[in-house]
Amino acid sequence: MRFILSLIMTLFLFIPVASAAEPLKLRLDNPLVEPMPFATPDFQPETAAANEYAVRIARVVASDLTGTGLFREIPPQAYISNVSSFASPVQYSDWRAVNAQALITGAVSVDAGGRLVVKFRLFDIFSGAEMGDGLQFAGSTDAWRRMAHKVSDAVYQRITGESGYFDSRVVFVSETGPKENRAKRLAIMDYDGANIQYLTDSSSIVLAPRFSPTGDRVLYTGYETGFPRIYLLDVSNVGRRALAMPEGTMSFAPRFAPDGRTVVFSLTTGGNTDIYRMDLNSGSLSRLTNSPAIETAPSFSPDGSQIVFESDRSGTQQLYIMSANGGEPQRISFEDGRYGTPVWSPRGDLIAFTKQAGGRFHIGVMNVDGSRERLLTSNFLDEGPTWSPNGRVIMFTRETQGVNGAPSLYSVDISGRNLRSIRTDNAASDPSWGPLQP
Amino acid sequence: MSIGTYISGIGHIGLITWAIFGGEFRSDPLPFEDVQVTTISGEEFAALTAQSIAPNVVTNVEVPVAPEVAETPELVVPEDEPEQSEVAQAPPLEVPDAPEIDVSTPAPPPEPDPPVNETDPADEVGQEAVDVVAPVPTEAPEPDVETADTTQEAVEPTDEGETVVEEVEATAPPEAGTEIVTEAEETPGAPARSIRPQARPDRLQTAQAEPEQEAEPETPATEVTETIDTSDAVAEALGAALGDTPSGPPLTPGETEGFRLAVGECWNIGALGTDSLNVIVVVGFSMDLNAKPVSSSIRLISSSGGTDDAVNRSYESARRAILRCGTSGYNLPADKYDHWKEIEITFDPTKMGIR
Amino acid sequence: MTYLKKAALMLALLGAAACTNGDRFGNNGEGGAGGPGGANGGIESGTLDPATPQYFNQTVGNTINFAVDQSTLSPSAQSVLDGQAAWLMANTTYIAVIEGHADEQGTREYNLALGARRAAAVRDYLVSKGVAGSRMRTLTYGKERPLASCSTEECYAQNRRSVTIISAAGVS
Repeated sequence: MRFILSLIMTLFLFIPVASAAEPLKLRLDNPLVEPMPFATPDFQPETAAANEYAVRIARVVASDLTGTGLFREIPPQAYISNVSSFASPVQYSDWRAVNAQALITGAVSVDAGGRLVVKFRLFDIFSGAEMGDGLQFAGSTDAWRRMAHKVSDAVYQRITGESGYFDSRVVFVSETGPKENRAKRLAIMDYDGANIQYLTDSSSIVLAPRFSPTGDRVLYTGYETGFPRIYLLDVSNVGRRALAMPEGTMSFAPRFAPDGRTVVFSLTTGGNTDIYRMDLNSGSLSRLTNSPAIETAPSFSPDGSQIVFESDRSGTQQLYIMSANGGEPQRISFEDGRYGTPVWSPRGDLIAFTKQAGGRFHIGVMNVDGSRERLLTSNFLDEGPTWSPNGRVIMFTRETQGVNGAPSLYSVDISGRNLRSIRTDNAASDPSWGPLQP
Repeated sequence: MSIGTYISGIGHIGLITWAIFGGEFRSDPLPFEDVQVTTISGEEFAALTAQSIAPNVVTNVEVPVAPEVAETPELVVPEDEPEQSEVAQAPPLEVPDAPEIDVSTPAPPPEPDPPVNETDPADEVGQEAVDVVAPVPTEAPEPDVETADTTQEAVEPTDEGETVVEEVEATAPPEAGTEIVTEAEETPGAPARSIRPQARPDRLQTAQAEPEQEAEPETPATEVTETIDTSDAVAEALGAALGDTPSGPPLTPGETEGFRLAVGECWNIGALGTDSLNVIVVVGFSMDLNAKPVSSSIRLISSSGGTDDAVNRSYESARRAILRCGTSGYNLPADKYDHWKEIEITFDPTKMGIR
Repeated sequence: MTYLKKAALMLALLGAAACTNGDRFGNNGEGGAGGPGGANGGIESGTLDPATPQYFNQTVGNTINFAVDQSTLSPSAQSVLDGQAAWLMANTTYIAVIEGHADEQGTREYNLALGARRAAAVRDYLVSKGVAGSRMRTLTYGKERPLASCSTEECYAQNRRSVTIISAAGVS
């Protein structure tokens, strides 16, 4: 035995070591693109008052994550081990056995002051390690959904490396009544359609609300005077005022600049629609385009230096980019079809738009220079994209056709996957996705 | 493993301690931020608006306002706050107790399994990786542009676009329901769960490696086997002590390819941010004699593209792939151990385009 | 025939209240020039006072239509507008709001601008025929107030329109 060993050793002495030290080098370039399986056992109630929240919060977290299309939940009935307490050790092998790659555990309690406290931990099952530190959120019990969303945001960020979008809200137009005489009112909801609340009544038409960068105010177009004009609404007390415009004009399609103090919009005088900007504090107005064509739907770049908008100066609706102070615009859309409602992504890299081609409507994205156009949807009538705060998802209006046609809200990943409908009580249109809440 | 258990135990004791005394941390004003949730309830709104607006919705045609008489705003825009306008101003409103949310990191959460190279968002690369990392300066600007390319999915303009797009929609992953059912609409506590197909499609089943799966790599020379069979650790130690282990002839292309595909089967970037889709990482690790990756040896060797965060996530997904598919050992010929003892894999998702 | 008369009479009796609804019938204006011209003639002589908004809406015609994505005035549209101009010149105590509308085949913002363009085209034409610009104001509804709600060209053609709404000056 010993002899053989030493013989082998001797033999190995003569083998060049260099070759053995050389690692095997491989290259992989064809990854799977599948939802990552995760498990979210019910959170642990640590006080009796927390019982009802423990289950619900875990369910909202699971719904948030699966809703992205990037994750899929391991059905709880498949669990081998259960989490008996927040602090108990994780049986990695049990979770590996059900192919969970991430595990979210949490605990909920109601403290002496009646505040809900939610904490969670995230585990990478196959690495057998916790991902990041545990986090805890405390707030009023009313805010339990928000706390669930905050857990989801944290999990999403740790796994994907980009910020989430769950603790955010959407302002939109809620619609009722027949197509010829639709009653419209502004409404606000959680990103997933929960907690709908109304900001205006339906006595006059309201269109296309737009959140301010901090989500505290909303710009929209209203017909309270009988003529379309722009209003600024304070979300906290629903107080609103019309922006002062030159007499005899119509104004619409407003949008905030990233600084929250400047507004760009369309102003129509004598039938001609151009783009203007207004300083909200001083009310000073400057004209950014000057052509007999229709210029509308302006949207700022995230750095505030440029504006993308649509114009039919070439004969059909196309997209253009100009400096935030006006000047000669550069056309960026060149494929067949008509392009409208461009919206700059919060990351600054893409522009989402509505496109009409071949008798259908599409939501699409293109690079800022107009290259790499990709259509994400195709339908009878899709329009009005708005970006999730992290620039990953686009929400838009989809309208069905016919006498009973009605709009509703949809979202789609910028890959074109994961098309989803957002359920609202009534018909809904013109979503504007607000920022992640602090 | 047992060390891991120990440390995990210690970690958990720490966590329990924290859980018990957790209240103390609560009082610690960590980065608390109050959140104003600013909405009003439907009733409040109704009460609010009932008094203000005179409805006139009968038809779309409103009795027009004589231009001259119109109370439309003046042309001149003065310094003062733009006039409150003719709109009935909503009285200030009681905002329902704004749910505020405090965010805090509870106790320093015990690190249950330190041996594994867990990248903390804070420290760029895994601890063990540091020495090896040749930090390719992250070129920030480019990535996003790249993320946009779905060459395959790229919809041809004009008519063809529709068909392609429809297909995209149609093939939306089944696990994503078509509707977001909000908690509000569910019976609380009885949430509908969708049961999803568990099994991943064996899309790489054809890999030539598969058939050889049974041929569990035994340690090379029979004589040696007896000696080192006891445990991997011993085997490794011995191997090291011996100066080397069986090298045998180089891996055949088939063997290499089989291994490559085996790792590839677990390399899933479906849950990565778009930034990470431009990140190429080179990950190195050692194998034990049973062709199981030594998890503590996994390290980031280099990377290109993307932010630090994106690189970390890419590295994590690569590490997950190596570990997950290597749980019961890869199918590699034992007699060529030297040729696969150390491995370096380049994970390059850039050809995929976006997702 | 009798039915039409009765209907017209009813409208007349309804008085001012009816004027907000007038344009609902307005779409007949253009087509009316060709087909049931005789019928209109009957109403003209028998029931309606030519100086009323009802007469304007029913007989002169308050609505004209446009081609897809266009704001140019067709010859038939011009002839209706000639009638509107004559009526406005004869009834100087009335003012007009000209609504521009679009079909649903366009984005909301663009359609608002397109409606404004259509309304302005009508206004400019009326000005060219002598109506004082100060008596008119334009308004766009974009695609917010379709006349017909089906999703076919038949309805779209009706929805691409301008409607001239008249009211007594000073009434707000």
